[in-house]
Amino acid sequence: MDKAHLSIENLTVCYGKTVVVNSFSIEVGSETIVLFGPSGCGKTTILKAILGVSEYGKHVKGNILFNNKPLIQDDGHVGMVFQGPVVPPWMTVSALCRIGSKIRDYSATEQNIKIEKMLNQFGISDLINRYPYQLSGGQKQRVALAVTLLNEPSILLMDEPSTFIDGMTRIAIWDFLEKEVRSLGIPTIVVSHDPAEAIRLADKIFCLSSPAAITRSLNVPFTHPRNDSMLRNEDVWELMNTLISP
Amino acid sequence: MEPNKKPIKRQKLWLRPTLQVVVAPAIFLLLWSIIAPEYQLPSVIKIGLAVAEMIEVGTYWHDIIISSVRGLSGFLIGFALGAFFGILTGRFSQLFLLFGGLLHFLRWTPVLALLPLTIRIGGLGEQPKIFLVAWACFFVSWAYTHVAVSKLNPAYIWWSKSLGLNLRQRLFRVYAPSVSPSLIGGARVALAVAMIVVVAAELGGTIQEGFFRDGLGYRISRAIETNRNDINIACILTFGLIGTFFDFVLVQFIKRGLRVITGIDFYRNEG
Repeated sequence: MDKAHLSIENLTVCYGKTVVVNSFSIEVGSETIVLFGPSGCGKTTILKAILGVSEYGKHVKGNILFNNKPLIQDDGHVGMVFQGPVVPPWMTVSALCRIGSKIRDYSATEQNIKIEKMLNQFGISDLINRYPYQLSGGQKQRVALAVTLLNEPSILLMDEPSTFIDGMTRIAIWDFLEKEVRSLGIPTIVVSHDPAEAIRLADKIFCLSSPAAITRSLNVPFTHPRNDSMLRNEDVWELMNTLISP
Repeated sequence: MEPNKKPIKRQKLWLRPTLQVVVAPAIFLLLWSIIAPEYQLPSVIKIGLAVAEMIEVGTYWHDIIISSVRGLSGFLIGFALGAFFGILTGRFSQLFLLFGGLLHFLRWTPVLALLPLTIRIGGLGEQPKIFLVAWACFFVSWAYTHVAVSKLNPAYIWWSKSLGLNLRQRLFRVYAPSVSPSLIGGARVALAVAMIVVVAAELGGTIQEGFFRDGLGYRISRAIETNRNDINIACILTFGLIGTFFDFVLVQFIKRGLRVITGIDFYRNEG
Protein backbone atom coordinates (compact mmCIF):
# COMPACT_ATOMS: atom_id res chain seq x y z
CA MET A 1 0.00 0.00 0.00
CA ASP A 2 1.26 3.48 -0.90
CA LYS A 3 2.09 5.65 2.03
CA ALA A 4 -0.38 8.48 2.54
CA HIS A 5 1.04 11.96 2.31
CA LEU A 6 -0.52 15.29 3.21
CA SER A 7 1.12 18.46 2.00
CA ILE A 8 0.11 21.95 3.09
CA GLU A 9 1.74 24.75 1.09
CA ASN A 10 1.67 28.43 2.08
CA LEU A 11 -1.65 28.25 3.89
CA THR A 12 -2.86 31.73 4.82
CA VAL A 13 -6.18 32.31 6.58
CA CYS A 14 -7.65 35.79 7.13
CA TYR A 15 -10.83 36.89 8.88
CA GLY A 16 -11.48 40.21 7.19
CA LYS A 17 -8.17 42.03 7.48
CA THR A 18 -6.90 39.97 10.44
CA VAL A 19 -4.34 37.35 9.47
CA VAL A 20 -4.85 34.28 11.65
CA VAL A 21 -2.59 31.83 9.82
CA ASN A 22 0.42 33.14 7.95
CA SER A 23 2.12 31.16 5.12
CA PHE A 24 1.91 27.87 6.97
CA SER A 25 3.58 24.89 5.24
CA ILE A 26 4.07 21.32 6.48
CA GLU A 27 4.46 17.81 5.07
CA VAL A 28 2.81 14.95 6.95
CA GLY A 29 3.38 11.31 6.02
CA SER A 30 1.93 8.25 7.76
CA GLU A 31 2.77 9.71 11.11
CA THR A 32 1.42 11.82 13.94
CA ILE A 33 2.40 15.44 14.19
CA VAL A 34 1.44 17.84 16.94
CA LEU A 35 0.79 21.55 16.44
CA PHE A 36 1.89 23.04 19.74
CA GLY A 37 1.26 26.60 20.76
CA PRO A 38 -0.58 28.93 23.10
CA SER A 39 -4.37 29.28 23.06
CA GLY A 40 -5.68 31.52 20.32
CA CYS A 41 -2.62 31.28 18.09
CA GLY A 42 -4.61 29.78 15.19
CA LYS A 43 -4.01 26.03 15.62
CA THR A 44 -7.69 25.14 15.32
CA THR A 45 -8.04 27.47 12.32
CA ILE A 46 -5.43 25.34 10.51
CA LEU A 47 -7.48 22.19 11.21
CA LYS A 48 -10.67 23.90 10.01
CA ALA A 49 -8.91 24.97 6.82
CA ILE A 50 -7.83 21.36 6.18
CA LEU A 51 -11.40 20.20 6.85
CA GLY A 52 -12.63 22.85 4.40
CA VAL A 53 -14.91 24.72 6.76
CA SER A 54 -16.24 27.91 5.20
CA GLU A 55 -17.14 30.77 7.50
CA TYR A 56 -18.52 34.22 6.84
CA GLY A 57 -15.70 36.71 6.22
CA LYS A 58 -13.01 34.03 6.09
CA HIS A 59 -10.50 33.88 3.24
CA VAL A 60 -8.20 30.90 2.71
CA LYS A 61 -5.20 30.89 0.37
CA GLY A 62 -2.64 28.18 -0.32
CA ASN A 63 -2.66 24.55 -1.45
CA ILE A 64 -3.68 21.45 0.49
CA LEU A 65 -2.62 18.29 -1.35
CA PHE A 66 -3.24 14.67 -0.46
CA ASN A 67 -1.00 12.20 -2.30
CA ASN A 68 -0.04 15.08 -4.63
CA LYS A 69 -3.67 15.81 -5.63
CA PRO A 70 -5.91 18.58 -4.27
CA LEU A 71 -7.57 17.29 -1.11
CA ILE A 72 -11.26 16.36 -1.48
CA GLN A 73 -12.86 17.68 1.69
CA ASP A 74 -16.54 16.77 1.31
CA ASP A 75 -16.87 13.02 1.35
CA GLY A 76 -15.62 12.15 4.81
CA HIS A 77 -11.94 11.82 3.80
CA VAL A 78 -10.94 14.21 6.56
CA GLY A 79 -12.05 12.96 9.96
CA MET A 80 -11.99 15.44 12.79
CA VAL A 81 -12.35 15.03 16.55
CA PHE A 82 -13.39 18.35 18.04
CA GLN A 83 -12.37 20.05 21.23
CA GLY A 84 -15.25 19.49 23.66
CA PRO A 85 -16.62 16.38 21.84
CA VAL A 86 -19.41 16.85 19.32
CA VAL A 87 -22.01 14.18 20.03
CA PRO A 88 -25.52 15.35 19.03
CA PRO A 89 -27.76 14.63 22.02
CA TRP A 90 -30.69 13.27 20.01
CA MET A 91 -28.86 10.17 18.76
CA THR A 92 -27.86 7.03 20.65
CA VAL A 93 -24.25 5.84 20.51
CA SER A 94 -25.41 3.15 18.08
CA ALA A 95 -27.03 5.71 15.74
CA LEU A 96 -23.96 7.97 15.97
CA CYS A 97 -21.69 5.07 15.01
CA ARG A 98 -23.77 4.40 11.87
CA ILE A 99 -24.12 7.97 10.60
CA GLY A 100 -20.84 8.42 8.67
CA SER A 101 -20.92 8.23 4.86
CA LYS A 102 -18.39 5.40 4.60
CA ILE A 103 -19.70 3.11 7.36
CA ARG A 104 -23.08 3.16 5.58
CA ASP A 105 -21.46 1.52 2.53
CA TYR A 106 -21.23 -1.70 4.55
CA SER A 107 -24.09 -4.14 5.12
CA ALA A 108 -25.90 -4.03 8.47
CA THR A 109 -24.07 -7.16 9.64
CA GLU A 110 -20.66 -5.74 8.70
CA GLN A 111 -21.58 -2.47 10.41
CA ASN A 112 -22.48 -4.32 13.60
CA ILE A 113 -19.19 -6.24 13.59
CA LYS A 114 -17.13 -3.09 13.01
CA ILE A 115 -19.01 -1.09 15.64
CA GLU A 116 -18.74 -3.84 18.21
CA LYS A 117 -15.00 -4.21 17.57
CA MET A 118 -14.38 -0.46 17.76
CA LEU A 119 -16.44 0.07 20.91
CA ASN A 120 -14.72 -2.92 22.54
CA GLN A 121 -11.33 -1.38 21.79
CA PHE A 122 -12.48 1.79 23.55
CA GLY A 123 -14.04 -0.17 26.42
CA ILE A 124 -17.44 1.42 25.82
CA SER A 125 -19.41 -1.44 24.22
CA ASP A 126 -21.91 -1.38 27.10
CA LEU A 127 -22.87 2.20 26.22
CA ILE A 128 -24.19 1.39 22.74
CA ASN A 129 -27.85 2.14 23.50
CA ARG A 130 -27.24 5.20 25.62
CA TYR A 131 -27.85 8.83 24.74
CA PRO A 132 -25.01 11.36 25.13
CA TYR A 133 -26.66 12.96 28.17
CA GLN A 134 -26.16 9.62 29.91
CA LEU A 135 -22.37 9.67 29.29
CA SER A 136 -19.48 11.28 31.16
CA GLY A 137 -17.09 13.72 29.44
CA GLY A 138 -14.47 11.02 28.90
CA GLN A 139 -17.03 8.58 27.51
CA LYS A 140 -18.32 11.25 25.10
CA GLN A 141 -14.78 11.89 23.87
CA ARG A 142 -14.24 8.16 23.26
CA VAL A 143 -17.57 7.93 21.42
CA ALA A 144 -16.62 10.95 19.27
CA LEU A 145 -13.28 9.35 18.39
CA ALA A 146 -14.91 5.97 17.67
CA VAL A 147 -17.51 7.61 15.37
CA THR A 148 -14.74 9.40 13.45
CA LEU A 149 -12.56 6.28 13.10
CA LEU A 150 -15.51 4.07 12.06
CA ASN A 151 -15.86 6.34 9.02
CA GLU A 152 -12.34 5.29 7.94
CA PRO A 153 -10.86 8.73 7.31
CA SER A 154 -7.80 9.18 5.09
CA ILE A 155 -6.59 12.01 7.33
CA LEU A 156 -7.26 12.38 11.04
CA LEU A 157 -7.42 15.77 12.78
CA MET A 158 -7.75 16.06 16.54
CA ASP A 159 -8.35 19.33 18.33
CA GLU A 160 -7.06 18.99 21.90
CA PRO A 161 -8.43 15.46 22.31
CA SER A 162 -7.79 15.23 26.04
CA THR A 163 -9.08 18.62 27.16
CA PHE A 164 -12.05 18.46 29.58
CA ILE A 165 -11.39 14.84 30.57
CA ASP A 166 -9.99 13.29 33.72
CA GLY A 167 -6.40 12.03 34.07
CA MET A 168 -7.17 8.30 33.88
CA THR A 169 -9.33 8.68 30.76
CA ARG A 170 -6.66 10.90 29.22
CA ILE A 171 -4.07 8.14 29.63
CA ALA A 172 -6.54 5.58 28.20
CA ILE A 173 -7.12 7.80 25.14
CA TRP A 174 -3.38 8.34 24.64
CA ASP A 175 -2.84 4.56 24.85
CA PHE A 176 -5.60 3.98 22.32
CA LEU A 177 -4.17 6.55 19.92
CA GLU A 178 -0.74 4.97 20.31
CA LYS A 179 -1.96 1.41 19.70
CA GLU A 180 -4.86 1.67 17.29
CA VAL A 181 -4.67 4.96 15.40
CA ARG A 182 -0.94 4.72 14.67
CA SER A 183 -1.46 1.28 13.11
CA LEU A 184 -3.89 2.82 10.57
CA GLY A 185 -0.92 4.60 8.97
CA ILE A 186 -2.86 7.77 8.13
CA PRO A 187 -1.55 11.33 8.46
CA THR A 188 -2.68 12.49 11.89
CA ILE A 189 -2.53 16.08 13.08
CA VAL A 190 -3.12 16.77 16.76
CA VAL A 191 -3.55 20.26 18.16
CA SER A 192 -2.39 20.59 21.75
CA HIS A 193 -1.03 22.99 24.31
CA ASP A 194 -0.14 20.19 26.73
CA PRO A 195 3.62 19.32 26.46
CA ALA A 196 3.10 15.83 27.95
CA GLU A 197 0.41 15.05 25.38
CA ALA A 198 2.56 16.40 22.55
CA ILE A 199 5.54 14.21 23.48
CA ARG A 200 3.39 11.12 24.17
CA LEU A 201 1.72 11.22 20.75
CA ALA A 202 3.97 13.02 18.25
CA ASP A 203 6.64 11.92 15.82
CA LYS A 204 7.22 15.60 15.14
CA ILE A 205 6.16 18.70 17.05
CA PHE A 206 5.67 22.05 15.31
CA CYS A 207 5.73 25.02 17.68
CA LEU A 208 3.52 27.88 16.52
CA SER A 209 3.38 31.55 17.34
CA SER A 210 0.53 33.98 16.74
CA PRO A 211 -0.55 34.36 13.88
CA ALA A 212 -0.06 30.63 13.33
CA ALA A 213 3.37 30.34 11.79
CA ILE A 214 5.97 27.71 12.61
CA THR A 215 8.69 29.04 14.89
CA ARG A 216 10.52 25.70 15.21
CA SER A 217 10.03 21.97 14.73
CA LEU A 218 11.25 19.19 17.02
CA ASN A 219 11.64 15.51 16.23
CA VAL A 220 10.49 13.29 19.08
CA PRO A 221 13.14 10.55 19.13
CA PHE A 222 11.42 8.05 21.45
CA THR A 223 10.42 4.70 19.99
CA HIS A 224 6.89 3.40 19.72
CA PRO A 225 4.90 1.96 21.38
CA ARG A 226 5.11 4.61 24.07
CA ASN A 227 3.38 4.47 27.40
CA ASP A 228 2.96 6.71 30.40
CA SER A 229 6.13 5.48 32.13
CA MET A 230 8.15 7.33 29.44
CA LEU A 231 7.09 10.61 31.05
CA ARG A 232 9.45 9.78 33.96
CA ASN A 233 12.43 9.63 31.57
CA GLU A 234 14.95 12.48 32.01
CA ASP A 235 15.28 12.94 28.23
CA VAL A 236 11.54 13.53 28.06
CA TRP A 237 11.79 16.21 30.74
CA GLU A 238 14.58 17.86 28.78
CA LEU A 239 12.46 17.83 25.62
CA MET A 240 9.52 19.19 27.58
CA ASN A 241 11.68 22.06 28.86
CA THR A 242 12.80 22.80 25.30
CA LEU A 243 9.17 22.79 24.21
CA ILE A 244 7.91 25.24 26.80
CA SER A 245 10.93 27.54 26.74
CA PRO A 246 10.28 30.73 24.74
CA MET B 1 -33.73 -1.76 45.52
CA GLU B 2 -35.61 -3.37 42.60
CA PRO B 3 -39.00 -3.96 44.38
CA ASN B 4 -39.29 -0.22 45.16
CA LYS B 5 -39.19 0.77 41.49
CA LYS B 6 -42.67 -0.36 40.41
CA PRO B 7 -44.78 1.40 43.05
CA ILE B 8 -42.96 4.70 42.36
CA LYS B 9 -43.62 4.44 38.61
CA ARG B 10 -47.27 3.51 39.19
CA GLN B 11 -47.71 6.43 41.52
CA LYS B 12 -46.24 8.83 38.94
CA LEU B 13 -48.38 7.47 36.11
CA TRP B 14 -51.50 7.66 38.22
CA LEU B 15 -50.73 11.07 39.70
CA ARG B 16 -49.93 13.13 36.59
CA PRO B 17 -53.25 12.96 34.66
CA THR B 18 -55.22 13.04 37.89
CA LEU B 19 -53.51 16.25 38.97
CA GLN B 20 -53.87 17.84 35.55
CA VAL B 21 -57.42 16.82 34.66
CA VAL B 22 -59.19 16.40 37.99
CA VAL B 23 -57.46 17.96 40.99
CA ALA B 24 -56.24 21.28 39.52
CA PRO B 25 -59.56 22.10 37.75
CA ALA B 26 -61.45 21.10 40.92
CA ILE B 27 -59.35 23.57 42.94
CA PHE B 28 -60.00 26.25 40.29
CA LEU B 29 -63.77 25.67 40.38
CA LEU B 30 -63.75 25.68 44.19
CA LEU B 31 -61.87 28.98 44.29
CA TRP B 32 -64.28 30.37 41.68
CA SER B 33 -67.28 29.36 43.78
CA ILE B 34 -65.77 31.15 46.79
CA ILE B 35 -64.75 34.33 44.97
CA ALA B 36 -67.64 34.67 42.45
CA PRO B 37 -70.43 35.88 44.83
CA GLU B 38 -68.16 38.57 46.27
CA TYR B 39 -67.62 40.16 42.83
CA GLN B 40 -71.15 39.46 41.53
CA LEU B 41 -69.84 36.92 39.05
CA PRO B 42 -71.99 34.02 37.85
CA SER B 43 -71.68 30.70 39.65
CA VAL B 44 -70.20 27.60 37.99
CA ILE B 45 -73.70 26.20 37.50
CA LYS B 46 -74.90 29.41 35.84
CA ILE B 47 -71.93 29.28 33.46
CA GLY B 48 -72.80 25.67 32.62
CA LEU B 49 -76.40 26.69 31.95
CA ALA B 50 -75.18 29.50 29.68
CA VAL B 51 -73.27 26.92 27.62
CA ALA B 52 -76.41 24.77 27.45
CA GLU B 53 -78.39 27.82 26.30
CA MET B 54 -75.90 28.58 23.53
CA ILE B 55 -75.99 24.95 22.40
CA GLU B 56 -79.79 25.06 22.31
CA VAL B 57 -79.85 28.27 20.28
CA GLY B 58 -77.27 26.73 17.94
CA THR B 59 -74.51 29.35 18.23
CA TYR B 60 -72.04 27.51 20.50
CA TRP B 61 -70.55 24.88 18.18
CA HIS B 62 -70.87 27.24 15.21
CA ASP B 63 -68.89 29.95 17.01
CA ILE B 64 -66.22 27.45 18.13
CA ILE B 65 -65.79 26.15 14.59
CA ILE B 66 -65.71 29.65 13.05
CA SER B 67 -63.15 31.00 15.55
CA SER B 68 -61.05 27.83 15.27
CA VAL B 69 -61.02 27.91 11.47
CA ARG B 70 -60.00 31.58 11.48
CA GLY B 71 -57.28 30.95 14.07
CA LEU B 72 -55.90 27.76 12.55
CA SER B 73 -55.93 29.00 8.93
CA GLY B 74 -54.10 32.18 9.90
CA PHE B 75 -51.71 30.22 12.10
CA LEU B 76 -50.82 27.70 9.38
CA ILE B 77 -50.19 30.39 6.75
CA GLY B 78 -48.30 32.71 9.14
CA PHE B 79 -46.25 29.94 10.73
CA ALA B 80 -45.23 28.36 7.42
CA LEU B 81 -44.20 31.69 5.87
CA GLY B 82 -42.48 32.84 9.07
CA ALA B 83 -40.51 29.59 9.39
CA PHE B 84 -39.50 29.81 5.71
CA PHE B 85 -38.26 33.39 6.03
CA GLY B 86 -36.64 32.53 9.39
CA ILE B 87 -34.64 29.75 7.76
CA LEU B 88 -33.56 32.11 4.95
CA THR B 89 -32.52 35.03 7.19
CA GLY B 90 -30.98 32.68 9.77
CA ARG B 91 -28.94 30.82 7.18
CA PHE B 92 -27.94 33.73 4.94
CA SER B 93 -26.67 36.62 7.02
CA GLN B 94 -26.67 38.92 3.97
CA LEU B 95 -30.44 38.45 3.66
CA PHE B 96 -30.82 39.31 7.34
CA LEU B 97 -28.70 42.42 6.82
CA LEU B 98 -31.02 43.42 3.98
CA PHE B 99 -34.44 42.57 5.47
CA GLY B 100 -33.80 42.21 9.22
CA GLY B 101 -34.45 45.89 10.05
CA LEU B 102 -37.69 46.00 8.04
CA LEU B 103 -38.98 42.77 9.58
CA HIS B 104 -38.20 43.99 13.09
CA PHE B 105 -39.96 47.28 12.34
CA LEU B 106 -43.07 45.51 11.00
CA ARG B 107 -43.00 43.12 13.97
CA TRP B 108 -43.64 46.06 16.27
CA THR B 109 -46.59 47.50 14.34
CA PRO B 110 -49.80 46.88 16.32
CA VAL B 111 -51.70 44.17 14.51
CA LEU B 112 -55.18 45.20 15.67
CA ALA B 113 -54.62 48.73 14.42
CA LEU B 114 -54.50 47.19 10.95
CA LEU B 115 -58.14 46.11 11.23
CA PRO B 116 -59.78 49.15 9.52
CA LEU B 117 -57.13 49.15 6.81
CA THR B 118 -57.65 45.44 6.23
CA ILE B 119 -61.41 45.92 5.84
CA ARG B 120 -60.88 48.80 3.40
CA ILE B 121 -58.48 46.76 1.25
CA GLY B 122 -59.90 43.24 1.64
CA GLY B 123 -63.59 43.88 2.21
CA LEU B 124 -65.86 42.03 4.63
CA GLY B 125 -65.02 38.45 3.64
CA GLU B 126 -63.06 35.88 5.63
CA GLN B 127 -59.70 36.61 3.95
CA PRO B 128 -58.93 39.86 5.77
CA LYS B 129 -59.61 38.17 9.14
CA ILE B 130 -57.32 35.29 8.31
CA PHE B 131 -54.74 37.76 6.98
CA LEU B 132 -54.66 39.57 10.34
CA VAL B 133 -54.03 36.32 12.23
CA ALA B 134 -51.40 35.19 9.71
CA TRP B 135 -49.67 38.58 9.96
CA ALA B 136 -49.34 38.25 13.75
CA CYS B 137 -48.19 34.61 13.57
CA PHE B 138 -45.68 35.32 10.84
CA PHE B 139 -43.49 37.53 13.03
CA VAL B 140 -43.53 35.18 16.03
CA SER B 141 -42.63 32.24 13.82
CA TRP B 142 -40.00 34.24 11.91
CA ALA B 143 -38.28 35.46 15.09
CA TYR B 144 -38.10 32.00 16.70
CA THR B 145 -36.91 30.28 13.52
CA HIS B 146 -34.38 32.98 12.68
CA VAL B 147 -32.77 32.76 16.13
CA ALA B 148 -32.76 28.93 16.08
CA VAL B 149 -31.15 28.71 12.64
CA SER B 150 -28.65 31.54 13.11
CA LYS B 151 -27.56 30.11 16.48
CA LEU B 152 -27.19 26.55 15.14
CA ASN B 153 -24.05 25.17 16.77
CA PRO B 154 -21.37 25.53 14.03
CA ALA B 155 -19.63 22.45 15.42
CA TYR B 156 -22.57 20.38 14.11
CA ILE B 157 -21.95 21.77 10.60
CA TRP B 158 -18.22 20.94 10.79
CA TRP B 159 -18.96 17.52 12.31
CA SER B 160 -21.40 16.71 9.47
CA LYS B 161 -18.76 17.71 6.96
CA SER B 162 -16.05 15.61 8.61
CA LEU B 163 -18.33 12.54 8.42
CA GLY B 164 -19.22 13.22 4.77
CA LEU B 165 -22.98 13.60 5.35
CA ASN B 166 -24.97 14.64 2.28
CA LEU B 167 -27.43 17.55 2.27
CA ARG B 168 -30.47 15.38 3.05
CA GLN B 169 -28.77 13.75 6.02
CA ARG B 170 -27.50 17.07 7.29
CA LEU B 171 -30.99 18.58 7.07
CA PHE B 172 -32.99 15.73 8.57
CA ARG B 173 -30.54 14.06 10.94
CA VAL B 174 -28.56 17.03 12.26
CA TYR B 175 -30.02 20.48 11.55
CA ALA B 176 -33.76 19.72 11.93
CA PRO B 177 -33.38 17.97 15.31
CA SER B 178 -31.05 20.74 16.44
CA VAL B 179 -33.48 23.59 15.71
CA SER B 180 -36.75 21.74 16.37
CA PRO B 181 -37.12 22.63 20.08
CA SER B 182 -37.08 26.34 19.15
CA LEU B 183 -39.40 25.69 16.20
CA ILE B 184 -41.90 23.91 18.44
CA GLY B 185 -41.63 26.76 20.96
CA GLY B 186 -42.27 29.24 18.14
CA ALA B 187 -45.22 27.22 16.85
CA ARG B 188 -46.84 27.08 20.29
CA VAL B 189 -46.44 30.81 20.89
CA ALA B 190 -47.68 31.56 17.33
CA LEU B 191 -50.76 29.38 17.93
CA ALA B 192 -51.51 31.22 21.18
CA VAL B 193 -51.06 34.55 19.38
CA ALA B 194 -53.41 33.33 16.62
CA MET B 195 -56.20 32.60 19.10
CA ILE B 196 -55.62 35.89 20.94
CA VAL B 197 -55.74 37.86 17.67
CA VAL B 198 -58.91 36.03 16.59
CA VAL B 199 -60.78 36.94 19.75
CA ALA B 200 -59.37 40.46 19.83
CA ALA B 201 -60.25 41.02 16.17
CA GLU B 202 -63.72 39.54 16.67
CA LEU B 203 -64.19 41.82 19.67
CA GLY B 204 -62.84 44.89 17.91
CA GLY B 205 -64.52 43.94 14.66
CA THR B 206 -67.98 44.51 16.08
CA ILE B 207 -67.23 48.24 15.94
CA GLN B 208 -66.83 47.89 12.19
CA GLU B 209 -70.32 47.40 10.84
CA GLY B 210 -70.82 43.91 9.45
CA PHE B 211 -67.23 42.73 9.85
CA PHE B 212 -68.04 40.04 12.39
CA ARG B 213 -71.39 38.40 12.95
CA ASP B 214 -70.15 35.20 14.53
CA GLY B 215 -67.26 33.65 16.44
CA LEU B 216 -66.58 33.42 20.16
CA GLY B 217 -65.10 36.94 20.29
CA TYR B 218 -68.25 38.39 18.72
CA ARG B 219 -70.34 36.42 21.20
CA ILE B 220 -68.29 37.87 24.08
CA SER B 221 -68.84 41.42 22.87
CA ARG B 222 -72.60 40.76 22.48
CA ALA B 223 -72.67 39.32 26.01
CA ILE B 224 -71.03 42.50 27.35
CA GLU B 225 -73.59 44.66 25.53
CA THR B 226 -76.51 42.63 26.92
CA ASN B 227 -74.96 42.35 30.40
CA ARG B 228 -74.75 38.52 30.22
CA ASN B 229 -71.69 37.76 32.34
CA ASP B 230 -72.47 34.03 32.30
CA ILE B 231 -72.21 33.85 28.48
CA ASN B 232 -69.17 36.12 28.54
CA ILE B 233 -67.27 33.85 30.95
CA ALA B 234 -68.49 30.67 29.26
CA CYS B 235 -67.00 31.92 25.96
CA ILE B 236 -63.72 32.95 27.63
CA LEU B 237 -63.36 29.50 29.24
CA THR B 238 -64.23 27.85 25.93
CA PHE B 239 -61.36 29.75 24.31
CA GLY B 240 -59.04 28.41 27.01
CA LEU B 241 -60.24 24.86 26.39
CA ILE B 242 -59.87 24.94 22.60
CA GLY B 243 -56.45 26.63 22.93
CA THR B 244 -55.24 23.89 25.28
CA PHE B 245 -56.60 21.22 22.93
CA PHE B 246 -54.93 22.72 19.83
CA ASP B 247 -51.65 23.17 21.71
CA PHE B 248 -51.68 19.49 22.74
CA VAL B 249 -52.49 18.33 19.19
CA LEU B 250 -49.82 20.60 17.70
CA VAL B 251 -47.04 19.36 20.00
CA GLN B 252 -47.95 15.70 19.42
CA PHE B 253 -48.21 16.28 15.67
CA ILE B 254 -44.80 17.96 15.42
CA LYS B 255 -43.05 15.45 17.69
CA ARG B 256 -44.43 12.44 15.86
CA GLY B 257 -43.99 14.10 12.46
CA LEU B 258 -40.34 14.84 13.13
CA ARG B 259 -39.82 11.30 14.38
CA VAL B 260 -41.25 9.93 11.12
CA ILE B 261 -39.22 12.34 8.93
CA THR B 262 -35.88 12.07 10.74
CA GLY B 263 -36.19 8.53 12.12
CA ILE B 264 -34.84 9.86 15.41
CA ASP B 265 -36.62 10.03 18.74
CA PHE B 266 -34.69 13.08 19.84
CA TYR B 267 -37.12 14.00 22.61
CA ARG B 268 -35.94 11.02 24.62
CA ASN B 269 -33.15 13.15 26.05
CA GLU B 270 -35.71 15.34 27.79
CA GLY B 271 -36.10 12.54 30.12
